[in-house]
Amino acid sequence: MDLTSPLRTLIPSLDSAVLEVLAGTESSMSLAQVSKLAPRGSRPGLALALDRMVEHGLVTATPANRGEMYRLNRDHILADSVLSAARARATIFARIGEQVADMDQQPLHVSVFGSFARREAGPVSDIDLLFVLPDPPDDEWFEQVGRLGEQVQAWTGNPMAYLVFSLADLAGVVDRQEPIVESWLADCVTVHGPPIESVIQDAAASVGVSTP
Amino acid sequence: MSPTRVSLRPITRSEGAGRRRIAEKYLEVAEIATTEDGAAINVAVGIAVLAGIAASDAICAAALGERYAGQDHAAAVRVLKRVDAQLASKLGRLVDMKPSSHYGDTLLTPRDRDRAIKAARELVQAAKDRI
Repeated sequence: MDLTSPLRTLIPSLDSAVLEVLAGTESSMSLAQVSKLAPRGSRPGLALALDRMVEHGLVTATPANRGEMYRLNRDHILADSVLSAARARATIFARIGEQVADMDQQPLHVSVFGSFARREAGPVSDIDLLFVLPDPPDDEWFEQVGRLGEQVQAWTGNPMAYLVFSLADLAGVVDRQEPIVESWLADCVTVHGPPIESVIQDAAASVGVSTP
Repeated sequence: MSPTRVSLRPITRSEGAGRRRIAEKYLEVAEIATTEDGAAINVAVGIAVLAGIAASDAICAAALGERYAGQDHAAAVRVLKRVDAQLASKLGRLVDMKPSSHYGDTLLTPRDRDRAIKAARELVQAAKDRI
């Protein structure tokens, strides 16, 4: 699924673009504001989508000086479904964090990096995970990651890809100035343990190499 | 667990034996590549993955008379799981190493390479036992 626009999986039409914007705030918004924030759709198209949802009561329209102000009606019976779908990305990250917390040989750090972290992923993109462990993991640990991958695919339809490093191996990667380190520092989303910056500093300090 | 469609292609027993011979050759080359570290680790792991995939095709040929027909290695794992879950798990761990070689030249360690070669050997041996 497209976790950047999760509502689009349920509602392929422009209505999901409108709902994504309105689900992000409890305030009212003008058509111009919705149009500015919507990930797709022309202003007339978004206006039609808003009209449809006002008709069904899912969005309220309040007259203002210039046109109407629109707001997601959070009392509507479908509002919880909309909000739940809009939060899918955060929910997936939280679920991964919960699964990791139950693993034997606990990782020090787990984060999502790559296109999902940058909100650039498409419906079939891999969900990339970075695992850092105190020591190199054994075969049993990889079995657990394999099961996590199956779950992630069942939850989202997206395959899970992963990189695994012991703290010492991570220090080596930092020391060799692999370009991916900059990418982790720029946009990875931590789902377990301390932020990657701290982990990299600890790894580098443990073997006396400098950090980027 | 397979939420996506998997495309399969019929494969005869003799074609399966051909895939097994290819798997053995890939493994032989991967083992030769283990003499060097650094970026050569990516090469050894990449070839070990190919050995594992070819071995999996041979195993599926013997057991199912069909094999996975696409480019998605994860789907190949799901097909092998229909034959043998343990072997599928070994193939899964093997193909899971591919991202490491895509993301950087030196992200894989000699330990990763040894794991890959071990998994490839086990899959090739399983293929030899079956076809």
